Amino acid sequence: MLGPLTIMVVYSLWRVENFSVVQNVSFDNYAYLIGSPIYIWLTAKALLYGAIVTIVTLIISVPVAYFMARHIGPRKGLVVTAILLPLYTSELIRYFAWRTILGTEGMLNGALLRLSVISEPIEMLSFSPVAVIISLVHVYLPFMILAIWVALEALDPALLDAAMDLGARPIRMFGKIVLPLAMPGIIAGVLFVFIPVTGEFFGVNMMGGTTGFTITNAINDQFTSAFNWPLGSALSYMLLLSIGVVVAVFLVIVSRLRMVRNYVGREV
Amino acid sequence: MMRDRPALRGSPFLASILVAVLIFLNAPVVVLMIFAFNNSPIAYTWTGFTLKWFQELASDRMLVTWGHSFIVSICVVVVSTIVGTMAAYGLVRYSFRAKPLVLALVFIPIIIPRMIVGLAVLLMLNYLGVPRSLFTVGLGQTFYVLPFVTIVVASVIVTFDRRLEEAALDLGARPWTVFRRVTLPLIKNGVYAGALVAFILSFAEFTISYFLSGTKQTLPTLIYSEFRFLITPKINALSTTIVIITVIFTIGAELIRQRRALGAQQ
Repeated sequence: MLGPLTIMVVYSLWRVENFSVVQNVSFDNYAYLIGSPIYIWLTAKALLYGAIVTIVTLIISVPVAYFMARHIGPRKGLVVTAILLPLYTSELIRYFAWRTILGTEGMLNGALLRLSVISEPIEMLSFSPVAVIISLVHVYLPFMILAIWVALEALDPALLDAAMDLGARPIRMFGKIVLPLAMPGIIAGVLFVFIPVTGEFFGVNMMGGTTGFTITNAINDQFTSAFNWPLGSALSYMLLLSIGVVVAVFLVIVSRLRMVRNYVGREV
Repeated sequence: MMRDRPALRGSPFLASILVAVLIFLNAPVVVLMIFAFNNSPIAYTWTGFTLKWFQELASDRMLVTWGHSFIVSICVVVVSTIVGTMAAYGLVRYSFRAKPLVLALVFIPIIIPRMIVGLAVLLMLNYLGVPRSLFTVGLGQTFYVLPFVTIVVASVIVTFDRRLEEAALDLGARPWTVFRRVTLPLIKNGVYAGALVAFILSFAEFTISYFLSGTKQTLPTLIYSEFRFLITPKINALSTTIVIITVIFTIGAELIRQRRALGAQQ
């Protein structure tokens, strides 16, 4: 993979003149991108989708993973299979499924109409940021749940009993014991969700229509219709760089959290 | 039993969240499968049971595409399982100066959006003058699948007792014999699991395949080009078939593994 990525760097330094690639090394592409508010806004939008979907999946996954680790003994295999099952279908098929469920003439609108909850189909359901977020949460939720669940499997029930005996209230127990132990899983889950969602192309494209347009659409345009591969490569690196910066900031903040410091300190 | 009691208090609430999540995760695919048998050509009004959408699937073009998908996935499984097992073994067992480099090589595709993996490979192929084909699809998919296989196999290698290998070496076995007779049987389950993960990921992969496929398509790229603008129940039938075949494949692999394991015990 280092080979292809290096070639991409080289490409991003070239230029297109009269529909052919000129192999002159310069930073013109990057200078152009930094000066254009559209590309910066599209990158910010991709990061925003990444952040929203990550936060939603995280909020859902922590209680689910905790429950799986603590309370379901013999049926665990079954539950894990049920969580993994959607992964057997291509994400493409799942986007199609959501499109037909959320579409203006789709199932959800049909059901709501029949139940007289609404009098006219909700246009908002299809091709909207809401549709993008629902379907991306659906596609990436299993990764977050599994990452946190694996971390929480290591949780010794005796710890919670001891805390309980010493009079700790559930919220305090959660903050002092469960969350610190889940932290490695949470970090892994956040990376597994945030990076691919931010770089998601077909999901935002198929579910969001024009409102879903992010930097990935711009990259795709440069490669498939504008045939400006150097600019497309520079855009790709702008995306990678911004993902890298956000991830680095996230990791720095997490490593400064008191609970993580305490936990790591105890281990050492 | 006693131990479970304290935390049980919050559990009806947590249990209902779990159930809701399981429904949310599986409902879209189930809905899709039910409506594959719907008589109406309009997507979501039920008018009666039919198998006609499945019959329409039995076209030559569709069967050829199934063949393409299987060929690509089987090649990806073979290559990524062998390379992934070697990488996992090397990374867990040995320390060497180039280790960070190998780690980076194996794991970079996992921390990069798939679209960029596909485009970077496309640029390289273009640079080398290699035309797009099923081979390039397989190549791109292997980059993407390899880290997952490596993680699965490595997670098994770290659990087994290293002294077993050392004992065999001390008794005069050659390294290759040790690997074949001691290590491999012990990590066999991990290798199987890795191969299965590779198959599932590869068979469903779309983004990388989209950028790297030439005139010959795999199933997901065919779905995209056929149904992008016009959604018909045919896509439900096709998706249903894909899910069923993937599940059969998975169960089959699991059964073979269990029978082998039983045979080995006897």
